[in-house]
Amino acid sequence: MAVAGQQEIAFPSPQGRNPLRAFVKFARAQPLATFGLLALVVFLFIAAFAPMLTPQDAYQTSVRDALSKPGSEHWFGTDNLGRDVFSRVLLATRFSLFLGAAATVFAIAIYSVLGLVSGYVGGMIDTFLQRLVDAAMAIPFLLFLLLVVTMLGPGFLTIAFVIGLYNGVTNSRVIRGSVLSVKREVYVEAARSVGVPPWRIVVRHVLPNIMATIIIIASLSLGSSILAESSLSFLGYGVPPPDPTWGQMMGAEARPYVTRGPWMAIFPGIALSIVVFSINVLGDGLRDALDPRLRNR
Amino acid sequence: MANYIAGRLLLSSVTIFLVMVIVFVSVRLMPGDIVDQFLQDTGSQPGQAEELRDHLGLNDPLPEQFVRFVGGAVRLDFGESLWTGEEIRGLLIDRMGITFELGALALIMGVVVGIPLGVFSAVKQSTPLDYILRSIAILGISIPYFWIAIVTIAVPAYYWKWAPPIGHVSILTDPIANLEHYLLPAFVLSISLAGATMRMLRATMLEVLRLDFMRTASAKGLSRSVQIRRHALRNALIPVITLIGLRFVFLLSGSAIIEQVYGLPGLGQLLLSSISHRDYQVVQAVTLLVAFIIVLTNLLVDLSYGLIDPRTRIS
Repeated sequence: MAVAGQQEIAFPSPQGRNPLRAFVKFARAQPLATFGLLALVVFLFIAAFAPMLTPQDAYQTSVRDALSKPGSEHWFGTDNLGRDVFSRVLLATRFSLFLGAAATVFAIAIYSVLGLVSGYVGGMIDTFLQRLVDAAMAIPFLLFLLLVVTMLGPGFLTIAFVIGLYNGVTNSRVIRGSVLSVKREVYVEAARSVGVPPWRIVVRHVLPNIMATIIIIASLSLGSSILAESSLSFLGYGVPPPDPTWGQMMGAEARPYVTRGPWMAIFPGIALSIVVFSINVLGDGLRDALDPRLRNR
Repeated sequence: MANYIAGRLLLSSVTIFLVMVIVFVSVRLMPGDIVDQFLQDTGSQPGQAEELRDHLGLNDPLPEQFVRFVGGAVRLDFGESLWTGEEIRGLLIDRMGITFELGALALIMGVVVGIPLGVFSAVKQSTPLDYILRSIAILGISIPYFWIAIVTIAVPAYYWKWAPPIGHVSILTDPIANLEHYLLPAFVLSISLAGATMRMLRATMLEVLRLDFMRTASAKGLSRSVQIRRHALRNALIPVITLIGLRFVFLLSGSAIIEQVYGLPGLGQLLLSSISHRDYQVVQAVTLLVAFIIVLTNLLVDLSYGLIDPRTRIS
């Protein structure tokens, strides 16, 4: 790779900032991430306008049409209640993505606060918090989710919160690690020596320097949250019906009928896999772009 | 070294104790208890409820119940299942074998596929082969394994009227049938492990391949395959081993759904049924066992660094 090329990335000339050209450049360097980005944009569009895009009412049951095969009338077939699977897959985009996003917001809040407090304050508080994190990591993930969801009762926000809590607590150790290394930097020491109050050091010096890590974990957490919701739903502990999520459709709804109508499980699974795949490749691209050590690889 | 292990064991016991507290409290915070579930099933008179709770020891003060739980755990005596009356220790031993066989097979398949592909991907960086392998790896961690499991049952059943072997056959009675029953579930479970191993190994290999000693190795005329195997791979494997350790733990908990789908009566299935029955004793015992395995795995993973990388040996 030519040195000139690297300089161009480091110091983009103000005149040459054509967004289209910048995008083409990104697409050349990261074809997979670009695919992820475009696919996600499509799914976000579907999520936003789902009720207008569905060819049929996603909630309308019809015993006569139950378990009909995929065909021209029902592209993805119908489920055991005669509901149009294609329409439900479209509508579920909204619930699955929103649930994943909500869980990720909870996770970001939890791991950022835990990681910053544990890493920056240190001492007894750190020791205590880290033992709790150890304990959380020693409890199998599904058990943790099942226990808390059963405890609090199933509900959209409850499930998002529980998934976010688990992701947040277990990922806080990574943030703590980054905080510990930033804390030893000279500029933090300098700020402390001139009497900058701790909260200000955290907000102005530590936080901006661990932002890349926070964003990378968030992107991983979004994909894993959507997967986690689907495993919960699969076991029948998911979002209460009738609102569809992909996990709900292929799990609780499809399982009893799966040998008579495999399409009930196949299509939501494909949609879910494409979204999680897109999030993961985009996250990879993001990590490469944000981590200077990995640039130009 | 002995001091280090002793320190780690002490920390681990704190972790285990915290897990016990968390599980003890949270199972009791779930709405309804085993007596409600039982009476719902049998339709007995409600007057019997309190009597039954007294009999099962559920009305004892909570600290007393907790001490009984910890005391029993220390003696490896977890009491009896509240639901079936079976002795829990025997139950755990029976179920553990099934989950372990599943986990071990999945682990082997995942590593055997993931490591060579990860090396290929790194060595052929930025070639079409690399992009294809990377896409496959990310697909592996993106596709829900229970979806693959369902598809392996639903599609052959619907289109070809064929079903993969379902249920458990003991390895002692019929080793071949046993393998037939376990290969497919283990394969499904291994997919995400293979993907994760491959991704991680590719990243660490790329880092190692750029180091000075690799240039030295090449300058002194070592063949490419020796360079890769003896110099690069050995250095790149350390983070991967941590990951495999973490993933093994994930296999243990992830196997719950796979066991459910393929009808294997392992620990995961035991856990799921005991949660829905509110069988506190069994939930506690299974969690404790799994937590113990996780903590032990982590310790072994940390100790294994020394075997692979002499620099990290603790003197």
